[in-house]
Amino acid sequence: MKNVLVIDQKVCIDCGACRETCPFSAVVCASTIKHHYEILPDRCHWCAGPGKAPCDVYCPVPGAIVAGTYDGAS
Amino acid sequence: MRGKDFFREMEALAKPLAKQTYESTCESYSSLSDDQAFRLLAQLWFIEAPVLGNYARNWWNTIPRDPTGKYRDVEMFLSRQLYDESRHGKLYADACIRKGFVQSDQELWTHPYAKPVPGWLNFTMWLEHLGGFNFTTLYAGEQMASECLTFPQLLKGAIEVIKDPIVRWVFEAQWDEEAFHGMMGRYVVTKYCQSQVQQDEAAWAAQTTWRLLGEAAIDLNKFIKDGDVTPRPAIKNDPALRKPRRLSG
Repeated sequence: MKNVLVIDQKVCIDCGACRETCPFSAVVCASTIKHHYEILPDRCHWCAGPGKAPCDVYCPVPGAIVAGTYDGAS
Repeated sequence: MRGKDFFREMEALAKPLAKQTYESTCESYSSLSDDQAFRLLAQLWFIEAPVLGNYARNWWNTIPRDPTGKYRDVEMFLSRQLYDESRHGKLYADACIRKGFVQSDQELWTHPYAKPVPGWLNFTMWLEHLGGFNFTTLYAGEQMASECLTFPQLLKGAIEVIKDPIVRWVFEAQWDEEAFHGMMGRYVVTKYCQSQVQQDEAAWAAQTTWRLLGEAAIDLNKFIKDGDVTPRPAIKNDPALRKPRRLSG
């Protein structure tokens, strides 16, 4: 079980700023809904968590990137 | 001839090519290995991200500056299209990342698979070159000839035959936007391409696009299938490559 960052799709405005700033290319275009982005949990390095990770620092919408967990299976 | 009739004439002309595009796509993409899928994604990434997303900004020069907003519709179409193309580049890059072919999209800028094969490069340079004409010629050559009359057949074929869900999604996710770009071409040609001079130049641009697309498809399919490019004529004895004469004086 590891800590990862997750995009809250209800809050996200799909600007893509997180994709451009992620140093690990963990943010990609979502494969389910058009024009949405998602964070690949196996590539996410947490980067000190919400408020400090580049994806959240550059995100223009408060609360769009939140903390989550990943058990490696799902 | 009215713009609407001109479009219908071009549509009839493109029908055999559209059918051929669909058939060759179904044949070439039906059983792609991972390496072949990477070649396909990387080559298509090249036309979307660097060419249409960045370099095609010279297309803005084709629209006359009109203070009354006469061409506002074309300006809005173009801004929307350039945004879409940039996003399509992201789709291709992200599919490569998801499949593990590259670790970041920066890698694609220097990856050998993302270097365009000759016919493909020729076609992409033609698209940039269209930025030097009036916007009716540009929209006839790119949005109408390519994205309205032939490219949907490639997308349709790819969606039908590609089995890998990650690769297939890239084409599915573009469908609506590419259909919209095609409609832009149809709208602009129907509305603005009304004079004989404009239609002559537009027909030339459309036919050049189809010719270069055909050549590009041959090179691209060979590269995807075998990993090498179509052999070009040897230029070893070309006069241009002889030792240059020394300048006297």
